[in-house]
Amino acid sequence: MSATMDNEIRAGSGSPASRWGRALAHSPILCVGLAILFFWIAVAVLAPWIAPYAPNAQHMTAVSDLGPSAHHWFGADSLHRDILSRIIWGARPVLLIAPVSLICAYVVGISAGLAAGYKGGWVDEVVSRVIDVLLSFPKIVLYVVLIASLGPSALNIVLAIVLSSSPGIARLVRGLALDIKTRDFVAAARTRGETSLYIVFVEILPLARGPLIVDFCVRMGYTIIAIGVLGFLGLGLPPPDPDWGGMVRDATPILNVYPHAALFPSLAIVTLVSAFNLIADGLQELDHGR
Amino acid sequence: MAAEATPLLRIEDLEIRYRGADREVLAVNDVSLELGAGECMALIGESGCGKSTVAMSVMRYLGENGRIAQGRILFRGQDLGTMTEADLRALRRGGIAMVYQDASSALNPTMKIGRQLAEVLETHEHAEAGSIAPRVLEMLRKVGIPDPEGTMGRYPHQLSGGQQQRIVIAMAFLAEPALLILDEPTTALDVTVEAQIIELLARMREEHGTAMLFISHNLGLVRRVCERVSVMYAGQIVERGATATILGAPQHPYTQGLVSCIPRLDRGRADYRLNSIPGQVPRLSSAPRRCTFMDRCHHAVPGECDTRIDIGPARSSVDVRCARWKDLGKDAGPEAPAREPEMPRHRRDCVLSVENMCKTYELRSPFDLFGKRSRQVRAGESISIALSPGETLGIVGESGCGKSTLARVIMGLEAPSSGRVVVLGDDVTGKQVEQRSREQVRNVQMVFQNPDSTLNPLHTVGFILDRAVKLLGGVRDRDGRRREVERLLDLVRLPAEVMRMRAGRLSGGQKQRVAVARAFAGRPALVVADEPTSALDTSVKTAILELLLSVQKQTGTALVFISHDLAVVRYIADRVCVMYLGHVLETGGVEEVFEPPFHPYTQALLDAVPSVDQDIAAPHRPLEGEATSWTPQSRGCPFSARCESSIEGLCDIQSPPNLETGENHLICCHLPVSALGQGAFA
Repeated sequence: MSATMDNEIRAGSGSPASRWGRALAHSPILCVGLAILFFWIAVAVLAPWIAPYAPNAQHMTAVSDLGPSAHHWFGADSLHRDILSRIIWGARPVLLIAPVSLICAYVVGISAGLAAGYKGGWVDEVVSRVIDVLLSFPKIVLYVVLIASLGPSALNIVLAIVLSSSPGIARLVRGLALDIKTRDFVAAARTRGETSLYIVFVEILPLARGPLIVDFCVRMGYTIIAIGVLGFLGLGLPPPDPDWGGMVRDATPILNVYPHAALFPSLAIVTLVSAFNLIADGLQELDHGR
Repeated sequence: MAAEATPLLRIEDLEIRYRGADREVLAVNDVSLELGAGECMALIGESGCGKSTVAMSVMRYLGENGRIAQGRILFRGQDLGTMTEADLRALRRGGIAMVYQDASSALNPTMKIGRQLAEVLETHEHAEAGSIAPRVLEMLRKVGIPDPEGTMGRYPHQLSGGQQQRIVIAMAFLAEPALLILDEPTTALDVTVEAQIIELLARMREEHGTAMLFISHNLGLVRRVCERVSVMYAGQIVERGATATILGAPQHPYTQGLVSCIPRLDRGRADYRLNSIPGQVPRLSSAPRRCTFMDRCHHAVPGECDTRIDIGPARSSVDVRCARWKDLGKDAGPEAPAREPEMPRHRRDCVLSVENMCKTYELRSPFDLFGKRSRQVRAGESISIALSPGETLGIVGESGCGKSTLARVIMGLEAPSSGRVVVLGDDVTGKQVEQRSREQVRNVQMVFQNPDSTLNPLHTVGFILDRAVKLLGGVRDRDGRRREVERLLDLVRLPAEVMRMRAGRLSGGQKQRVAVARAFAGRPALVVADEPTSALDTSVKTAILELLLSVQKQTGTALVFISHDLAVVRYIADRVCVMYLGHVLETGGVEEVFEPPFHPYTQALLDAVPSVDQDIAAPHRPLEGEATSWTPQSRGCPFSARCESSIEGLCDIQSPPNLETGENHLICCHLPVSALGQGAFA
């Protein structure tokens, strides 16, 4: 008996690092997604050192021709600013605002969803109706109304994203909690005299982490798009700071002459969004393979 | 038999491997068997011994990561391994069919029953439309579906589990197979329904001359159904021969172990002792060069057992894979640990008393927002029970009789609709567990049915028990808690290493041990065990039963043991309560309930349980029908609709009186005591 037990313990162990190693080896999609993500994180962190110019500097070298040149690899925008430098610096606000706002949305969504799913009754009724109302607004209308009334700023972008994402998250968490709370270990916790807070956060939430992590990655993609859209509508970060969506908007008047000015920032958004989608797919694949 | 014509199914030296995450697992090795036309053979053994793998390989359903590494499977002399997909399809018609354990997942939920059955005929015979419906109807009648015409137009979810299994059997027989493989076909069903299905299978087999390969861990069932049996252990056949011989006088120590861990229906706890097989089935990655059972065998002798052992003839028509089978009789049996003396009971105070408990569920239609047209379903109807310290009350009954509801009401997980629940003198009626005092919570604990959901799979065993010790045991300091956790693990005979293991990685039996430890952490006065062994293998089941008994002895805890397995209840309980549709039909001491006079329902339950000692020919008439839900409109005796002795104009109108047939032995029936027991069923 003890011999088999030892084997089981050994089979069950394995440091988190080795588990990640195995996961990566099994999923090339996950590898690609993580590689792109780490590339953009590195770009954002190292921006002061790798960006060839200051993001807001105007250059005489890009007066006559805005197109890509030896001085400006990705060309320049209509204000003669280096696009490569602006993309590099622009990675910073995106990679900061997207996760921060989404984490805030998750805090709100998880709390509401757990309360509704575990408590049920009138709590569930109220939370579910609020979710229904918020989800019935088109997201874009929600953004425009909120930021147009509060004014464009990083904080208000976070606010808009929390308001638009948390209902979906809450609905997902509620469904997971409804399922998990019927399991016997939840009944066992109740008959042990545990508090509702303990049951919800220690017994239920950890079991829901699989679907939630995948959902987080998918939502990261949407959030980055949302930030781009806000920038494009002029509701993003206030100028002159670089913002990928805003860069696409600035490029629209000169688009038929200089398509590069919109192309490169768009590519930046596309790669970052696909990175998160690939990670989500990879994680899901691993989950099903298990 | 070997001299006869080609057998229907012949398996030669079969070896099956599965590709695992890091290594190959040897699921089946060196398996040879022969099955003649019309024969019925059983494959028995614990889970993980390769029984289902053999069946799947005959169906060629091994899945992507499984392969036949060696050997051949011949069906009517044709090698199944070399057949093409088209040949295999042809083989399904008039060839091999299979019935699975879970009927609900074997049927397509989106297709009406009639359509699903017709499809079998269409694909196999290209029969013209006109002739199909009558044949399907006839088959439904044959398998005993009460309303065949109506059932044709229903969906699977509208049928009960027993009826679903009948449909699956009808489907299998429509293809007129020469060989039917049954993988635990009745494990998910109630005893009375199980008896009906077994009866049906025997009848169908007689009519169609079908051979059967019957996989089961229920030895009583095997005894009733099969002429021959093969015992599998760790992917090998360790003993095979005639069922009566093998189950009556097993030669291999493993078979002996299996037989000795079956609780007996005909004998009380005082007359025998269950022996579980220690240890677990090993997972092999290469062909074993020694006896695979050696580590768990108390007859093992180094030098004799650690060579390669082949299966060879032992006695007449029995083959055994054991090096020492001749000498086993000379060895002393396993030393049964001395039974702790029964503790004297203090009958003066009462741990638990439930009086006239009634629980009504409101069924609300989803289209009915205001609950006006709600329908009531009663799970418990005036149940009264009482329990003294250290006593075990067994509650038996078919599924849907309200056993689990009673447990949840006692625990405070649900509130009763009326009646009183008193625990240790405190009235806790209507108090959800959250509203109970710490002392009340500590004193009533529960062991749940499903080992896979009883523990949070992400938590370590140490964390789970630590939490229980802290909240229930009231131990505050860290070292004290750790000592207490170690004591608990020792109590349930688990090594201290499991503390670091996540619960998800434990085996079913280990999980249930941890659950027992958790329940006993605060030294409760009462533990409610809701079918704690029904999802476990026979030998593990026995181990958990022994564990519960010994822990209960040491702590003097009162136990409410809920089960549908009568033999288990007879072994563990002091008093028994037989429930049917929320009513207590009979209650009394264990010996009184299991001996005449019986309530007709108790007798029907007892008759339905197949015994390992009983011959196939033993007369048997299973109880008909199934328990339906009890609505407030119903009157009279709840069992009257299925009772053979039901008196029209009395049983279906008036509630039966409680007949006192002995000290504390009550039977709730209209029949005179003299008619009970010798009655209609015997």
